[in-house]
Amino acid sequence: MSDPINANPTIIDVSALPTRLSNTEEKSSRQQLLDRILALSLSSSDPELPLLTDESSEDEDDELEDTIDAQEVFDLISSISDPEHPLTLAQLAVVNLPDITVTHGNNKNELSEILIKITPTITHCSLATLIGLGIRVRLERSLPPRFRFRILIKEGTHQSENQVNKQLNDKERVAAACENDQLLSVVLQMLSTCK
Amino acid sequence: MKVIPHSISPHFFLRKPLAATLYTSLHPSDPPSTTNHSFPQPTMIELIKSIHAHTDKAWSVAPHQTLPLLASASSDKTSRIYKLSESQNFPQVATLADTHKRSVRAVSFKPQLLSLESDFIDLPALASGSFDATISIWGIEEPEEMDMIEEGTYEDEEGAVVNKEVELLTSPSNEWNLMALIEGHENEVKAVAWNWSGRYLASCSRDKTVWIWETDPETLEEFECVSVLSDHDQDIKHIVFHPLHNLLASSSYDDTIRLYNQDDDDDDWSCVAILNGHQGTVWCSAFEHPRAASAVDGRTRLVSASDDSTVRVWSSTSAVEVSKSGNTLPSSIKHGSADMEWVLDLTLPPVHKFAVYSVSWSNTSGRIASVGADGQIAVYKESADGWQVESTFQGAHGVHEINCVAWCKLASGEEILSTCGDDGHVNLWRL
Repeated sequence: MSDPINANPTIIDVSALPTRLSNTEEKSSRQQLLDRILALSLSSSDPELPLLTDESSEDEDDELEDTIDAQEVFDLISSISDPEHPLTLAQLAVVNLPDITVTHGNNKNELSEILIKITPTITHCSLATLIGLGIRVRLERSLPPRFRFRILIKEGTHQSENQVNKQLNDKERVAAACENDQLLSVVLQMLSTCK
Repeated sequence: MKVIPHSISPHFFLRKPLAATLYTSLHPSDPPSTTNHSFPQPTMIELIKSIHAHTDKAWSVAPHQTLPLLASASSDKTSRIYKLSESQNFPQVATLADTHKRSVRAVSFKPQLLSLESDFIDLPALASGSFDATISIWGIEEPEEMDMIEEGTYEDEEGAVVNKEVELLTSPSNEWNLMALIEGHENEVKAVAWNWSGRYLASCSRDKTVWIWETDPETLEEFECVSVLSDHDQDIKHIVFHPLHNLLASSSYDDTIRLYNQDDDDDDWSCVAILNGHQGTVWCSAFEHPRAASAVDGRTRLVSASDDSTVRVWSSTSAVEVSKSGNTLPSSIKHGSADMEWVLDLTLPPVHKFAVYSVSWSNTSGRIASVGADGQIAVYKESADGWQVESTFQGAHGVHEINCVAWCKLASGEEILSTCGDDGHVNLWRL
């Protein structure tokens, strides 16, 4: 690549990023706390348990899907590499946890929506479309087909916001782009750092 | 602009589907019907048959005008042709493969030719447009038994009337061959459409142009580009011809629809109207057939589907120019090449939650059907009180998006709906 478009981006330290991937300890301590609170409860049966047993018979393999929330989506896309810097999209604050919204359908036969707003490092970033495409490909390959994705440029962070938004959410153009070997190899390169 | 003629060769063969993509393997071949039986549907739409036609997204379905044939197009780079015979359980008639290097985006059958000499048999032919920027033309050779059959029909064992010619022309034993590969567009071809007489084929592309190709409708030997229309500012998603006139509508990523008419004097095509109003990409449009139950003499209507999740009906009372290629409708008055006045009649009652990808206007019952990213089929009917939603069906392709809807007719003559979706299925619906 020739001259970088943004030569001096702001970088966030990896350890400062929100994640669920490595902090199992914190989780278990939280679980311990929850257990203790539940143990104190007067009612003998956990109010959540009947619900779980009701569904478990038919939805065993859906347990994983049920955990798909903003953090899960963030974990899927935060480690995508920037096409220009040897850094991830999270390190560059292109993707941020508060800018991810997940809206679930009532059951697994209903559609769920994921809205992601990305913040390009500079307002004339010509790579914004490529970054958005990388996020879309990553999500399409990782999540079940009932999810509908909407990837937008965060308001006021790019000079051709509407243009980029329209292109990123046109399924036909995304499909055609993914058949372009050159473009796809760049995208796969970006995704190669995903955990 | 180059046309590569292909001598008819029996080189294509039935191909085993390639390894399923990751996306389909996540949800292997579950028929969409089964996922929906668990919860009630306030609907009168009933699934007749779900065909797992493709190993990747199915983009387009299109019926033959008179023969009970339905073609499909897919990202698996193939097209398939099925016979719309319920008693024969919808057999596959052909797989059209090993030609396109990228997704096949659209298919369109050549219309049935009118006023032919008595000994000429009009063979079915199909045009396919691909993301590889080319258009392929497919056809069959005249079935050998054709000269031996006598005119007319007979009754089969169950007493149903069978037309021998129709049986021969729709038989899976016919070999569908590549007749021509048409090059010219710079990049992805998004749609192909024939005019009413089969003399003109139109194609549109991301290169922002519509090309009109002229051919001999009886032989389809050569396709000569007679016009390049570059009025749109962006990617053109869809084109469609009026069923009886040389009037063409193109839908675009620039949020508009444009109408083109063929000038009477010099055969040139020119833009006669721009329809503004949609708040997003226009994905598809369809003309009302002048013989549909909903039609009124002297009025031309068009329905459009958009990314803005609306379906709109537009109308014009301007006379449509009669092309000298021979079409004569009493309601059409010849006049010079003038602009057409089009107005937005109404927006159909809202049903869809996301983008509406496809719309089809029945040329008999006059009903409109639409489908889109929300996986829903909606059917609208016009009454004295205006347009109403007649029925809807949610999850018609499971949780997948539906890319195309088309009214078609079974061999029995019954009007049904066909849809195709990201699950690679072609579904057939009874109303």
